[in-house]
Amino acid sequence: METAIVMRNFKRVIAVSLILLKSLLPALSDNSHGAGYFPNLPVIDQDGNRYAFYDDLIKGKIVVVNFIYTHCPDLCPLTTARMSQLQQSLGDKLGKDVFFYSITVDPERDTPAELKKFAEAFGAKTGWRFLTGDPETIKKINHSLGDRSRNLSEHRNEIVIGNESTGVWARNSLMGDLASVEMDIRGMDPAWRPKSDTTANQDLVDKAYDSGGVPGKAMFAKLCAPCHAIGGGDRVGPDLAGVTKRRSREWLTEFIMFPDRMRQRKDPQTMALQDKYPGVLMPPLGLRPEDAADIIDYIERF
Amino acid sequence: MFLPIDASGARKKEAERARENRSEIVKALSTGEVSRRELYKWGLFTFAGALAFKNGLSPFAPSAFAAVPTGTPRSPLFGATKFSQPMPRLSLQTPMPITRAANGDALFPAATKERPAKRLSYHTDFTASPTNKQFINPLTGRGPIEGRPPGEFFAHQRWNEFFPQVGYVMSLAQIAANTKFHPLFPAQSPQSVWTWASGNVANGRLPPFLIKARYGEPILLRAYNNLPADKSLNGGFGRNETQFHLHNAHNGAESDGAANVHHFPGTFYDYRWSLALARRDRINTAATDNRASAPNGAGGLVRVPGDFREIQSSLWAHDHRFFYTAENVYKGNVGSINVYSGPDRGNEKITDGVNLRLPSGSLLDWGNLDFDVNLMISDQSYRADGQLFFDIFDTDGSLGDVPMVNLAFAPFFEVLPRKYRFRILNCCQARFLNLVLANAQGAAVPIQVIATDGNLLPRPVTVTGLGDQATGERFDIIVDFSKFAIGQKLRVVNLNWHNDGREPKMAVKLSEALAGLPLDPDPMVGPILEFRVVGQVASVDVPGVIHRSTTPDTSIVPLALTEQIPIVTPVRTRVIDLGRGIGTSRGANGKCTPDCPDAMPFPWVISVNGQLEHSLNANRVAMLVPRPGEVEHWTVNSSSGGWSHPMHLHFEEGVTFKRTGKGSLSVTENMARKDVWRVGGGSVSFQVQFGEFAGAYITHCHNTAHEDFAMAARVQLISGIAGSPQSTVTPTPNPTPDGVVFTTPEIMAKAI
Repeated sequence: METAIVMRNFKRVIAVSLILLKSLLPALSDNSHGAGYFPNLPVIDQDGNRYAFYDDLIKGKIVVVNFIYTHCPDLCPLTTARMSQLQQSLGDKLGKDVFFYSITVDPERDTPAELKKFAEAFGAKTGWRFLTGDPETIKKINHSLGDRSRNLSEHRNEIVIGNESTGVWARNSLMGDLASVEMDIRGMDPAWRPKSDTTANQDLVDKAYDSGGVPGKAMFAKLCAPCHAIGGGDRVGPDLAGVTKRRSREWLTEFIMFPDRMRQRKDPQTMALQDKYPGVLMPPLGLRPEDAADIIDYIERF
Repeated sequence: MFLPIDASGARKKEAERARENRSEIVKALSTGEVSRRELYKWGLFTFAGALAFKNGLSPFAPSAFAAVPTGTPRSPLFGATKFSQPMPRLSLQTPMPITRAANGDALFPAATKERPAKRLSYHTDFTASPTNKQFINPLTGRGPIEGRPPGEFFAHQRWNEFFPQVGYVMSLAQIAANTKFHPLFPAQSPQSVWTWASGNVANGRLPPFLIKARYGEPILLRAYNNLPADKSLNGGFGRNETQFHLHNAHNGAESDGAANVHHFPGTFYDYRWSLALARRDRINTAATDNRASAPNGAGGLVRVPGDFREIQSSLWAHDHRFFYTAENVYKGNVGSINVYSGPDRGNEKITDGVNLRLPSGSLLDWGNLDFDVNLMISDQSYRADGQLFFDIFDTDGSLGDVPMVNLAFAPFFEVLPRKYRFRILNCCQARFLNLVLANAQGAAVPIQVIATDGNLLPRPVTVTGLGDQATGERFDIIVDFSKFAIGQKLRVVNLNWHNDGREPKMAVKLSEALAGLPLDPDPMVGPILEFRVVGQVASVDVPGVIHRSTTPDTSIVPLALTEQIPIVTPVRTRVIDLGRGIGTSRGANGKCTPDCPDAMPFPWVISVNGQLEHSLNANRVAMLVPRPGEVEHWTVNSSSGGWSHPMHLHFEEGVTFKRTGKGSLSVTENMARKDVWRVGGGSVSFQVQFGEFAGAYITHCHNTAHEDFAMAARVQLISGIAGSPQSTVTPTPNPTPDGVVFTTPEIMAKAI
């Protein structure tokens, strides 16, 4: 039925278009990923601001886009936390020269209010908008940016980096080296020049590689530090200084490996944490007992 | 999304309507009744032919049955039919002699006016004298003239030992004017297709290139990037930056073309392809084994150190620009390299007890191509105007609907009634081919497989079909046409039906593939190449010579091609899980909580020697540190359903010895040396050993879109030679138009 209606309309519009539109519109470049490619549909951000997606958010801008949903049990918190590390390294460029968009893949549940909680949990600043909208609209927008998942867990994990005014679009991964990602983002501005230091700092590399007998160190830096500090206060999640004294090793091990399982059985301490840090869930990171042990050993050193 | 063969009449009708609707739109577009812009405005079109979410129009709407799996309307063929053009042979490159200067530099012939090649990159000179014009990119006036990173890490390893003897200068550039994939197709625009051509030149050429290499004769490839400096002049896809990867050749990481070392328009990159026979540091070090050898050009052999069982033959090279590999390769950044050796010599006449005399020809001492034919098979799709199309936002793995052989649309090839060798490469982006040779009656013709992924099998295996062949996989086969009369036609038929880039939906029967599927859901199912048995063919080895069917076939297919490398107790085992990590919501009873179906897979979970080491599960930073000479057993496990991944390990091959789960070891992979393994719904195990070179390599999924999706892990090889730069971890090079900036890799704890 829908097909028939679409086609009737389509034929009618063709007929009209022959009279009205011919020669009125400039020829569109086939190469363009600009107007006409990105839907110019209404979206709404975590603060309730409304935008026309293309005109207000894409046109003429350098953007970094990722896809999230606030009920995401595992990867989104980690990738979002790494986005927040990028936010930090880009400093005041964000919101001025570069814009971050985290678009939900779950618009039914992700209301602006839900996104607000999520954004606050990750310390999102002005230049970082969390977008939702009518499900069909969001589906079209996400499709145009390469999220064509059939279910939530399949959603696109890479980031899309683009500069609409130059027509250059790139993929990258938040799980790669953030320093490289940052350079890719800055490089979207044709006027950008890297710092001239092109020599390798082998000492730094060797230090990073040599765990100095503390194998949990590198793992903490990669997997935990995006959300947690050890001393210096809460970030996305709680400050972990002294955590090994507050909680049993068994509890910590299980929480590092299977936080979802503990949420599911409504472990009281887990539920208390969830109340204290709303909008963000500790993700299960696919760690094995040896990994958890090493991470705990590392935290214990402080 | 796609119509099953047994679909109801109503669904078929709906599909037919959808097809009509689509063709109406295409027609309206082509006749100018409606513009793309209008279609965008109405929300019917998304980009260059991708129809939007409208029922009956789009593959993304639930009942758009007639969509071809490209996600776009059927590619226009401009009246061209299959088998109406001859198959182009690959474009053979001519080597130049390289001489050694007193200071150790490698000199190209003076007539080329090329500056010498050096152990250290010209970037090193640029870094030292950043204002010296001779080291600056002449096109942009910014950054170094050479893309190879500066300093010792990216100096050519073992430069004097593998000093280049022959050189090639090639350019990656916009396609030359009037280049077509078929005479009836429109010419491709300079922005649509980017390919390689000989010399430092402004235009790329088709067909793709072929280089004939031999062991013991190191090659210096000076690769110019002559693409336009403006990134947006790309026809909607493709990046004007490249790193050129010689797939699985035994090279130092600086010449592997996959260490995040792409270079920019106006610059070159000197790759030194060592042509070292693997295990040369450990086996047959005195070069006394005649089988470890290369043709000397005069009927004899030059012995080389190394293990003759590691001899490679059919290799290919392709772009490896991270995050752009899929589109760049598809755009034409690809070529073939045949490696020749004493046993696999490309001469079917010389009888010396070493030469296998496989079908090839005999006019040349080595590397005869008259009866030894490269077939690069790929799929393309076109916009309504016939220009090459690629959806840069597709992350499943793109599919094309137009079959190509050597980048020509479904050609024919004339053969004599004798034995031929075909080197078949799947260079599709995501497609798993499944090829059968059908005779005129539609029956499968037996063929002999002699090599997988460029590695000779111990014994030829006779099959009636090749089975699944993933991107990057190669089969070298022998076809004996002597059983067919002159005038007969045979066809290479693809049986695998894809709905999307994840894995084949099914292999259809040969009869179905020949007859055509109802509603034609995947146009790549069916014949893609036609062999015509003829009485005479012109030689490509010595132009002017005519080969006739009356000339006796002197080639043989010996019962033993090489010896098996035995499986031994490994020093170390590694398990690489591609599917979900253990941190899913599966409860202690193994049942899913409500969260379970939504658990995100962590693409890499790696354990070493059981679970004693760390699991490393972050993309691109997982680091494996094999030690030279130590035998390892790797198991790649992909338990998650719905995806098949062709896993590719750079630099070394593995002996395939076990599969678990879905599928068993096929006759062509059991104990075979390979560098690409299909995994999905189970695991595959292989034995591997590293040696001779070191540095930062990778292992990754060769579905080029998955690879861009960061299904890649660094394999950091440590040389163990004190004082060599490769005795420690390589800093990550980050190429920029102003030069390479090194950063500290985010790496996990030290894992052996």
